[in-house]
Formats: sequence, C-alpha cells, structure tokens
Amino acid sequence: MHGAEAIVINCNFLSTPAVAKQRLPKAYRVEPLDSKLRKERTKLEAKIMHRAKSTGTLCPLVLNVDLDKCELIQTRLDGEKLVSYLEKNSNDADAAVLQNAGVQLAKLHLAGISHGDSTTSNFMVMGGGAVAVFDFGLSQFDASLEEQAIDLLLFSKSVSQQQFKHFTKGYGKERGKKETQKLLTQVAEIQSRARYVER
Amino acid sequence: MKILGIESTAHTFSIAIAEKKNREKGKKGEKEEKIKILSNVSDKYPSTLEGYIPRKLADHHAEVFSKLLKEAISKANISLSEIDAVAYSQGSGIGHCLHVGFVAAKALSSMLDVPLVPVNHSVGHIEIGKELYCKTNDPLVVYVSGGNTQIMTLDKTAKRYHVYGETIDIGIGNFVDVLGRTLKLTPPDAVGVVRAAEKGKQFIDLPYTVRGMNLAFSGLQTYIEKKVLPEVANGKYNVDDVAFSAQETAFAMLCETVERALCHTNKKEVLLCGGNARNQRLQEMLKSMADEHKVNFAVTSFEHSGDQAAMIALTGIKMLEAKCPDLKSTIPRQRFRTDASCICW
Repeated sequence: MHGAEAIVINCNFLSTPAVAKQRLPKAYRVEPLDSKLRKERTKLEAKIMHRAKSTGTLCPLVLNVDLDKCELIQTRLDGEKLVSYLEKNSNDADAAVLQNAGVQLAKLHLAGISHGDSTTSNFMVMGGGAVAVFDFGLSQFDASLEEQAIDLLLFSKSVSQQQFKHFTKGYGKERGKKETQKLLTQVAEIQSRARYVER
Repeated sequence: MKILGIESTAHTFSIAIAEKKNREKGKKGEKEEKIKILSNVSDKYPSTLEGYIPRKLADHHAEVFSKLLKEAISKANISLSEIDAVAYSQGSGIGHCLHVGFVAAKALSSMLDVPLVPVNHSVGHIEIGKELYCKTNDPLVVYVSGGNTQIMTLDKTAKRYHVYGETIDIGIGNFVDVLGRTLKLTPPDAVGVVRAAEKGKQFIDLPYTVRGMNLAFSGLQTYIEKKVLPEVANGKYNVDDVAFSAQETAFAMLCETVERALCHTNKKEVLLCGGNARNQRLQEMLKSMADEHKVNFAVTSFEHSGDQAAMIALTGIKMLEAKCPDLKSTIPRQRFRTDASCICW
C-alpha cells in the first residue's frame, strides 16, 4: 500500500506474517529535513508501540527496526479497517465495535501516549468484534489533556455524531466518567479556537 | 449577464467586471459559456514594518474607490448602466475594510437598482481556480493566504466545503509576512522572505508541527524570534539562511498534510489557490508531491492568486444563477468561514 508517508508491504519475518513499513524519501523536502523526519519518526514509532503494550493496548508488535532504511517490521493485523467496516454494517453492529475502539484509545492514553491520527482509517476490526489500533506514525509520548482531546476530536471528525457517542461510551468505561467529561469539554474548547468561528 | 465585483477584505481594494453570455436558443447540448473577466483592477496598501493598521487600510480603500471604478468600467469597455448585479466580498476579513467595500457596493446596487450579491472571500479564491485553472471539477483544494491555510474538498450532498485540515493558529501567509518584518527584509513581507530564501544555503533545524491534517505555525515563529535571532546577531547564521529554513519547514509541513489529505480523499487533482499560491517554491513542492501520486496539479495565475475582485464577480455570477440561499443576508461577516458558505452550483 502506498500511503501518504510510507509504503506498507506484506512480508514474513522469521516465518511470522508481518508488514514492513518503509518511510521513503520525499523529493519535495530538503535532504536534512527529510532524513531527520524519517529517522526520528521510525525510531519513535517503534518505542511507542512497545510502550502501548504496557496497558494492554491491542496493537501490532514490533519485530525489527532498520534505521538506515527507515523501516519498521511489525506483526500483521488480520481484519478490516474500521472505516470500511462502518460503511458496510448496520447501526447495531457498529455500536459494539465503536465501543471497543473507544476502549483501545483509552488504553493508549493511559499508557501516556497520544495517537495523533486517530481516525477510522487507523483502527482494525478483527475476529469477534475486537478492535486493534495501529499506525503510530504521528504518535507522541504526551498524554496531556490537549493531546488526548485532539485524539477524540480527530475521531469525532471521521464518524457521525451517533457513532461518536458509542465510541465515547467505550472510552468512558476505561477512563471513567469524570475524566472523559473533562476531555469532551476540552474538545469543545479546541473547536472554538478554530479560525473565524462565529461567536 | 455582466456583474461588477468589489474586493476589500484586507490590504487590497479591487474592482472587476465579469460577464457570462446567455446560451443561444436552439443550441442545446453545447458546452456552457465560460465566465469572462472583462476587467480586474487593484490597488494594494504597501506593507511596512509597522504591519497593517485597519483604520489606515480603510482610508486607503475609500480613497482609491473612484479611481478604480473608472478604470474598471473603461477597461471593460462598457457603461455603468449595463451592470446587472453588484457582488462584494462579505468576509472573512478586517471589519474596517469590509465596510468600505460593503457601503460602496450597496450604494452602487441601489443607484443602479440591481441585486447586491454577498460573496465569501475564500470561496471566491477557490471558484476562480476551479473555473479557470482546473482540469477536473472536484479537486483537493489547498487554500493558502495571510489569514487562512485550509485543505478541503467540496461535499456535494452538504453543499459545503469540507475542511480536512487547517491551521490551528495563524495562516501560513501571516507567518511569512511576520517573518519578513522580524528579519527586517525588503519588502518586509512574504516577497522579502522569498528573495532572501533564494540566497539561503544552510538549513537550520526548526520546530515542525503537524497534527494529522492540521498545522500550527506560531511555535515556529516564536522559536525563530527567541532562539534563532540571537544566533543571527552573533553571526552564527545569516537572515537568508533563516528565511530559507523557515520557508522549507513551513512548506514541508503543508505538503505533508496535503499529501495525507490526498491519500485520504483519493482526489485526482490538487488546486493551489490564495495569495501565497504565488510562491514558486511552494508550487514546485506541491507539484512534486502531486506527480508522485500521479494526480494533476493546478495553480491560479499570479494575477488571480492574490486578493482581487475578478474572483468576487465570478463567484457572484454563480451564486445568482443558482439562486443561492446565501443571497439573503448581505451585511459583512468578519468571521465568515469557508465551510459556512452554501455551494449550490
């Protein structure tokens, strides 16, 4: 798959089904900036995936890191992306899956990580309705109120209002009502900061 | 239909006349006539080290109005009585400036007894790009100017532009303009930065802030003021290197978010429009990105990138023809977002 930032290729690593994510050079960027971004992001992504496991987040495992090639090999997730899953399924089936997605993002936040690109394209629906989170290319070791709220905002922008309600229900189960409410208030605060919002 | 457009959201006052010929009867199936720009004249308040002061801009606009009106009419080679409607830039923009354009447009429309058409300034920038420069009618729009930096597509069901990514603090144009003043370049704005950047060689590591498809530039600006300028003072860097690095960093951030939006939306064309679309390095970078994804890259011409009234007149025609519901409210809207405008044509 040729993504915006990297190419993702299916492969086998020590006979484990895996994917290799390679950050290729971008011709539009000057070389020093390009190599800095590619190396730093590959390194950080590996560290983040490792830390995510500390709270039991369902996500791929890091198998190998090659900084010269800016390549990260990770276990392959078997399933369907949430974005296409939602297009196909009825509302009832959505609810449980969206709740599970909420639980996973909450776990990630509890590990002190913000995802940075938490849209429906980056959640995988697997067998039995379990949901895994992946693509930590824009993630940070920063679970401040602001960064967590941005994650929720990004997700809300990729789904309908009803779907977001299911998602926050699952999120709230893991984080608690008080914390979730605090975050949703921050989401509204961030939206009011957008340019030229009529007040 | 001939329509007179007035633009006065910020530093530029401009008047243009656009025309769309009615289709001849009995010639069904023929391609619709394109909108023609008969004249497009502007007067820009010069940039100075003090920045733009709203009251001074408004005074300037009021003073140049009569001169520009005469020029626009004579260049279009028509008489004022042939005008079928008056369109003006309703916002977003600076209140003082918007009101000069509004009062002028309102007076003209009352005097000629023709409709007054309120046009969203940002939509104007996009529509002129789509009408005159695009190959497809559904591009991924990259709108870059002093006040705005937005990445969007048209949502045909909602009849609105859907903003996928935007700046969460200042516009990219605002950033380069302030940089021009901070570095005391000549002229002290985006143009000064471009000229200095061409001479820059050494790349300085600067903060790079991208969040998904959103961007932030204020941290970059503060870092340059607080950390880089002292190094310029002690001779480690020169201003050309600062301009070069700032431009490369800010544009790379923008390209990355555009690339992400392109992969997300699967559009077949990228349209670059708005005042900062004039920047050739930015054009080159986006073209390189578009080529890699095998999509077409379109950009507005130098004349139609900056603020001008041709885009207002052109969009006014489209709104009138489509009987757009936005025609009802005509007073200026300082905080009129791109995605708050009804796109029903």
